[in-house]
Amino acid sequence: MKLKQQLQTFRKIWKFNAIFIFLAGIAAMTVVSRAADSFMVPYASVASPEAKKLKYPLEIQGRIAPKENLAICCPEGLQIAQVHVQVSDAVEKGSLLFTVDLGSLQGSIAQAEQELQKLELQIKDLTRAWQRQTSQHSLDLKRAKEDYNDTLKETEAAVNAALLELEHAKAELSLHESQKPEETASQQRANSSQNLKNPAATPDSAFPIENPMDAWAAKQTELEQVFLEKQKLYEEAATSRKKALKAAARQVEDASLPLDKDSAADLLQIEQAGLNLTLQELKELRKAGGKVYAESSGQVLECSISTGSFTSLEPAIILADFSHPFQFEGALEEASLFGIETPAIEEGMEGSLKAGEGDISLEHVKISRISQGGAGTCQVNADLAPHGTLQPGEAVLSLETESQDYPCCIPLSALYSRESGDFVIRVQESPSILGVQPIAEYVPVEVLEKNSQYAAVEGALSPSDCVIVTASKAIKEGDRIRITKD
Amino acid sequence: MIRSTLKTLLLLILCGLSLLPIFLLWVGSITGKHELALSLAGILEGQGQTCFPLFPAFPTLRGYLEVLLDTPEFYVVFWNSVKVTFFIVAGQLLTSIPAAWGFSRWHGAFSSFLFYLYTILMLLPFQVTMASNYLVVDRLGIMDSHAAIILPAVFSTFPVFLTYRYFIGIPEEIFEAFSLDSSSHFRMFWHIGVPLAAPGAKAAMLLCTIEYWNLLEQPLLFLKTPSLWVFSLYLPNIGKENAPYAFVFSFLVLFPMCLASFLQKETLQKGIGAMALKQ
Repeated sequence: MKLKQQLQTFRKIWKFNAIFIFLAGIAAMTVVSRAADSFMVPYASVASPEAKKLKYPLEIQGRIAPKENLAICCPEGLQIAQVHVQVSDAVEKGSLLFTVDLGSLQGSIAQAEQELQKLELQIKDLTRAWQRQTSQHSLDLKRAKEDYNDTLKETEAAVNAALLELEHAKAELSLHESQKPEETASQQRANSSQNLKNPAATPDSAFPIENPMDAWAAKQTELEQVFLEKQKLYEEAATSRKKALKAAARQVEDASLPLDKDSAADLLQIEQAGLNLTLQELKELRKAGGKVYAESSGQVLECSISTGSFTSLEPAIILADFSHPFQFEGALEEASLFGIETPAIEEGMEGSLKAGEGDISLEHVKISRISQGGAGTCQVNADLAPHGTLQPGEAVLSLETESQDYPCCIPLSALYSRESGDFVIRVQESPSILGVQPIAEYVPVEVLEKNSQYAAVEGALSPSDCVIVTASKAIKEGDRIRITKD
Repeated sequence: MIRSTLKTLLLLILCGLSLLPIFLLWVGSITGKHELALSLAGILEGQGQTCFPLFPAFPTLRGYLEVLLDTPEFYVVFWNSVKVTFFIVAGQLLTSIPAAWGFSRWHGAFSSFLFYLYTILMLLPFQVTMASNYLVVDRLGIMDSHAAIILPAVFSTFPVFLTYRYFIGIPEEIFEAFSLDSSSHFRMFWHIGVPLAAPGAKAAMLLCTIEYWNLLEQPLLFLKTPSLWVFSLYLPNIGKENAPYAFVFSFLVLFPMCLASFLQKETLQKGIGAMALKQ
């Protein structure tokens, strides 16, 4: 009886509570399902496409070297007593480099002095010879001018005399014509002209003139002949004068030509100046006891002398001059230079330099020169600003080249590939049963360029889009995702 | 004896036939994805034969696991359905019982006419009132929200009609006796009307719960945002590849109503029976 009552009570309670128990179970399963869903949905970090230039870091291995070298020269023919440095030695300003044998030095000084004296004598001889030439030249010119003046006077007098005689004959002829007897003017002119043109046709003078007209005509003919002779004489005098003056003028002209000075004396003087300098150097060297010192701090690059050898025209020692600014010298593959794989480097680009063991760092080091190297390489030089601790040695120049400006660049980790091509996973807000959910959407893109971090792509992407950069698991198209803030 | 046995057998057959859809639903829910695809090839693929098995060759609970653990959408639409049904039924409880009380106690000139109109409204299908409902909901600015479904349903005439029958069945002497103690109409309603009409109200609430749990037209018309959908909208959107989930899903949403009907069958029978007797 009691059991029956308990069963009825249970049935009543069950009737009312079964629905609530079911709902409570569903509620619990809702929580479990949500929790499971949070584990199943992949977490993803996103980024937006941005316009940027792709950057390519580039390191050029090289060394720091002085920009200028210093040649230590010594007069030719001196014997080296001792060399105090060797190649790659670092020397300070005033350090002893080598010593010249004093005996050899003395001999060279004496020889130089003798040669100098010889040159002086040669120069004196040449100078005197030149003075003689110039004196003779002046005298010749003076004489030519005097000859010209004399010729001028003489010929002018002869011409004047001929002219006077011609005028006199002309006057007599005019006077005789004015004394002509009576005759028709036309006949007179006919006779006169006939006589002038053909004197042979005139009547022989041996025949007596029977009338005044004939006598006048004979006189007329005589006077005309005289006139013609005088005229001829005058013309001959004028021609002679002209020829004589021309000859005299040419003589003056020849005498006026400047003398060609011989440059032998000048050459000897130049040689003398050089020898003087050499002698001075030798004397200074003798004064220093034959010791040659470094003119500035540096490093011995080349040493062409040794103990006992003789100096030549070549520099005895070549020093890397530390007193001038340093430069970076590095080699680079031509692929980098011409931008085959990355944007090309060019003069004027700036970078940072690390030298030593990373202790020395210089910023804004600018490439000053790019030149062709050997075996597919190119030489890159960069001037370095003066720096207290900078020393020659190994160094690395770090550059950063940039591509063109691309409107759509994404992190490289956001780029995926499949057989049909490259794609990115775009996050699309999509309404669903669970509310507005971020859904993965595959967007095919074409990769224009990429570096180690970013890729410039072309596709249906806009700056407001979000693409998945990293995900906790593989994401398929249409999958729900959970976006993390980082 | 034989006659009684045959009668019982006939009833069992009829009962089995009525339960066959639920049984097939359950069978589908424990059938594997590939086996179900083969069985329903004619429906899902449009070619081949459809031969639904009475029991799967390889029964599995994978569908239940995946729906219950891997398909959070199920819970969203389930709780949306619970929310809509609960607020509709609660709203009806608050409005229909006083309305039915009013109709039963008001003996004015137009009371019969008004109740007649009310009854006509109950008989009108939703398709007839859909346009007017839509305009009102749109004007109220509650389109694409659960309120667009709940608010019109709260004022449904069916629970009023059902509860009204209980109120008019209460003898007048009881009210007269109560009026000797109190003249308050509300106290009379609360202490006499509600307790005596409780079976009818419970039956009305149960029937309304079943009706609004399976609501389809109103959500289809008023709800656009997927996150507001009830299960009747979500079910057709399950793809062919997830057909087993549709069986599981259907079985799971059918289960609470089956449970409620089973557990409250006496109340349901009593309420409907009383209503029929009084009519």
